[in-house]
Amino acid sequence: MPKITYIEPNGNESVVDVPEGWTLMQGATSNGIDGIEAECGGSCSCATCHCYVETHADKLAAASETEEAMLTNVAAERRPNSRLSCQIKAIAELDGMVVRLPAAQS
Amino acid sequence: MGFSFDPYSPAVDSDPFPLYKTLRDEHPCFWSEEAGMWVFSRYADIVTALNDWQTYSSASGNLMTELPNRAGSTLGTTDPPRHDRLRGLVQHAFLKRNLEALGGPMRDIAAGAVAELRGVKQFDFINDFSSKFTVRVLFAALGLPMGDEQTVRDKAVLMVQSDPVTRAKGPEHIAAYNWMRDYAAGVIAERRKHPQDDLISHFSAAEIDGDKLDEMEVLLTTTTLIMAGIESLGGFMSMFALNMADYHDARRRVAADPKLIGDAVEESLRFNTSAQRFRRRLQKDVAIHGQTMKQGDFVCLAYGSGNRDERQFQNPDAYDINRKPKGHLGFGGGVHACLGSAIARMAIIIAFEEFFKVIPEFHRVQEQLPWMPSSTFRSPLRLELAAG
Amino acid sequence: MAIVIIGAGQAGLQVAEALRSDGYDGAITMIGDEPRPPYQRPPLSKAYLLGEFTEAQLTLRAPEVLARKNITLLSGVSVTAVDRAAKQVRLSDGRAIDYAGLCLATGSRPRPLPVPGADLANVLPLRTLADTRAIAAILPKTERVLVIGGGFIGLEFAAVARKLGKEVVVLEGAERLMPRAVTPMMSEFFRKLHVDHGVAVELNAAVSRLTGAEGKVAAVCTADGREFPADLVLVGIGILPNVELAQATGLECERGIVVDACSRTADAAIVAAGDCTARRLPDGSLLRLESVQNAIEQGKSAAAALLGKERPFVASPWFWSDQYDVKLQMVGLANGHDRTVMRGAPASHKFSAFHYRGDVLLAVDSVNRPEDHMPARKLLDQGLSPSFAQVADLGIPLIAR
Repeated sequence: MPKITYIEPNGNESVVDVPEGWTLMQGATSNGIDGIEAECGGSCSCATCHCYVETHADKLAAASETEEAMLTNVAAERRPNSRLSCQIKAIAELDGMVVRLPAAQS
Repeated sequence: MGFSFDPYSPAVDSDPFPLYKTLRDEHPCFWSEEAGMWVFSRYADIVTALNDWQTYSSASGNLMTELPNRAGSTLGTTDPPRHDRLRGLVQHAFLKRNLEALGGPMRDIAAGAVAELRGVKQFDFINDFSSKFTVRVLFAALGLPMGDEQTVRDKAVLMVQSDPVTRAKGPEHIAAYNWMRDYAAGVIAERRKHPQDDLISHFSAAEIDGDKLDEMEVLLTTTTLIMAGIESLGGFMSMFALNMADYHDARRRVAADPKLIGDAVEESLRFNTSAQRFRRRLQKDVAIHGQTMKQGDFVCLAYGSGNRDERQFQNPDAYDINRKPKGHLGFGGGVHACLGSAIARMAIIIAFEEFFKVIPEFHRVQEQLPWMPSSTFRSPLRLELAAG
Repeated sequence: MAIVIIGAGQAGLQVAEALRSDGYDGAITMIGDEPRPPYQRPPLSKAYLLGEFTEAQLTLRAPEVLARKNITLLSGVSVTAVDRAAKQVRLSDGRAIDYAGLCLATGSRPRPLPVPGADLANVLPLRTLADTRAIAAILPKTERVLVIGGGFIGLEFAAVARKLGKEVVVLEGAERLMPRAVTPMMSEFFRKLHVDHGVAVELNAAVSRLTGAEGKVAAVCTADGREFPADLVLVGIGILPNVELAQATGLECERGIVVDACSRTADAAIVAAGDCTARRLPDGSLLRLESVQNAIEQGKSAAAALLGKERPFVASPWFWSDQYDVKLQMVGLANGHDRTVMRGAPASHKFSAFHYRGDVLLAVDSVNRPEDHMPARKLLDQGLSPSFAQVADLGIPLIAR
C-alpha cells in the first residue's frame, strides 16, 4: 500500500497507508485528516478536496477538463501544483508522496 | 509624505507595478487626489465590481479620461438593459463563423508585413510591423477603403492619449476623436449605400425584434471599434513583443513551437495587459476596507494590478508561459468583458506565427522605452528590436 | 453536559465533528440504526453499482477515527422515544441516555409504492447500502430493469443499468422527468439523453399494480392497461422525512422537522439537521432540501447552536447528478423565474441555463460546464446578477470571487 503524507492546514503531518485504487481524498477522509471536506464524495462536483501536490507530480496523469474547470474556482489560492484529491488514485508509484492541504475548502 | 497614486504621471505610465503592490497591500481602497477617484487594486474587489454592474455603473464612461459624448452611447459606456441591446445587435457581427473568414486575410497581411523585415537588422516593431498589421486587418474586417491607413492609425493612437499636464484630453486628442467620428460617418454612409460582407455592414443592418441601432449608436460603435482594433490590439501586440524580447527562454520555446503562442499570449494578458485601468461610477454608497465611497464617486479598476495580485496568482511578478492563467483581467470581465477578445486572440496568434517564421530570434535595443501618456492604456510608443 | 445525536449519516457525523472542531470536549453519542459506521450515499446509485467503488471506500470515517475524536457510535440501534421533560432518549435495546443537547439527524426513507404487488421480491428502493447490496446481488441475473419514478435516483440507476447492458424502462407519472427539481427544458434534455442511450422513457405513466410469479416480480402494469415485463423493479418515487420521533415529542413538523436558519427547533435543547428537516425561510415559507450540502451546512449550524452560537445556513443550495457522461450541477432555486438565458446549446451537451426573475439571477443549471457552475455559486451567494448578454456570450468567461 502506498504511504501518503498529508500536511494538514495546521502543519500537522500524517502518514496514511492508502489502499491502491482508493483516491487520495478517500484516504484522507476515512482517516479523519483535517482540511478536506469532499462534499460530493469524489465525483468532481464540489472542489472541496483541493490539495497541493508537493512531490511525485511527474507520476500523475494530467487533470481532466472537468477537474481543470473545478480547480479554477477553489476556495484557497490555486497554484500550479493544485489538484483535486478525489481525482488522484493511489498507485504503488505514489509511495512516499506528500500533499499539502489548504486552509480553506469552501 | 503620504503615499500617492497618480494615473496621469509618467511614472505610472512607465512602471505602475510597485505602486500597485503598495495599493494592494496597504490601500486596497485608495482615494487618488490626482485622479479624483477611488482605486481598486485587488483582484477580488475588481471582479466584484465587474460583476456588480448595478452598483458599479459604466453609463458615465469607462475610460479613465473620457471622450466627449461617449458616455451613455457605446457598448463600453452603457449599463444593461441598454448595453445588452447594443451588444446583441453588434455581437452577431462577431460570430465565430464571421471571424473565421478573416483568418486567411489576416495571415496574408501578417506575412506581407513581416516580409518587409526580411534581412533587416533593426526595426521599430510598432511602426514597421504591428501598426501595419493592425490597421490593415481592421480595414479588411470593417471593409474600409485602403489609402487612409496611416492617418487613421495616427488619429486612433492620439485619441486614446491624455495630456499629462492638464490631466484631460487636450485639443489635439479631441480633434483626433472628432476626425475619427467624421471618418466613421463617411464610411457608414458608404456602407449603407453599398452594403458588403464586413462588420460595419453587418451591424449597421442588424435587427432584433424590429430593433436597430440608431445613427449615433452606429457611429459611436464604429468609432470605438476602430479605436479598439487599432490601439488596443496594437498596444497589446507591442506588449507581447516586448515580453518575447525580454524573456529569452519563453521566446525560444515559443519560436520553436508556435503552438505555445496562445499560452504566451494569455500570460502576457495577465502579466502586463495594455488595458491597465478602466473606471466605473457608483450608483450607491459602498463601504469597503474601512472607507466609505459615496454614490456618484468614480472608481478606477486597475486590471493590471488585479492581474499581479498575489492573493490570486502565485508568484505574480514572474512571466511564466506555463501558467495558463484562468480568469485574468486582460480583457476586463463581467458585463463589459472585451467584445473583441476572440478576434484579438486570433489576430495576435496569426501575426506572431508569421513573425516568428521570419524573425525567430530578437532582442530589445532601447534600455528606456518611451511610454504612451495614457491613464487607461499602457504600451510603448516605439519598440526598437534587433533581429538575431 | 452530554450531547446525543440521533442518526449517523452525513448530517449526524457533521454535527459530531463540528462540535469537536468548535472546541466542545464533552460526551458525544451518535446513534445509528444501520449496523455500520457513517458512509456516503451519493455513490450508491453511481460508482458503487458500477464496481468503481468498494464498500470500504464508501466509509466516511473509519471507526478508529471516531474513537480518536471521542465520538461514541452506537450502531444497529434505534431510538424509540425522546422524553423532552426528562431530557432523555430511549433506545430499542432498552437503554436510556440523558442529554443536555440533542440533535435529530434522522434522515429520510424511501416513499413506499402504494400499489398492489409492491411487496414482491426484486422490487427495491435505493437508499441504503443494504438496498444497494440487494440490487447488486440481483443485477447479474437481470435482463429487464424497470424504474418507477423519473427522478434523480431512478435516472442515475437507469444510466448505470444501461451501462451494464440491461434493457431499461423508466415510468414517470408526471408529464416530464424530474418535474420538481428541474425546468421543462432540462427535463426534455434528460429524456432525450436517456432515449439516446436506449432507455424507454414513458411519461404520464401511472403504475396501477405489479404482478409476480413465485413471489418475484414479473411485470408492472399501468392504469392505461399497458404491461411492462421486468426482472428487477427499482422504486424511486421520492423520500419521506423521518419525523416520527420529533412529532411524538411535540415538536413542530410540516414536511419535515421545522428548524430555523440556525437549525434550531422550538426546544432550546434540540436542533435538527439534514434530510429530516424543513427550514423556515425569512418569508415564512418552508424549504426542504435533500442533499449532501444541506446535511453538511445544517450540521455545522446545528453544532454551533448546541454550543449557543448562531451560524445561519445562507449559502445557495446546490445539487449534482452524474448520468452517463453528463454532469448536471445546479445552484439556486429557479422557482418563480420569468426568463431563462442559455449559455451554450443543449445539442452540444455543454451548456448552462441561467434563470432570472426580472434582472435578478435566481438559479443556474449547468450540463458539463463546471466552469459556469462554480462562479455561479459565488455570484448567487453574493447576490450578483450578470447581465443577459454576458451569460449568453460563451466568449466571456464567467469569473467570480
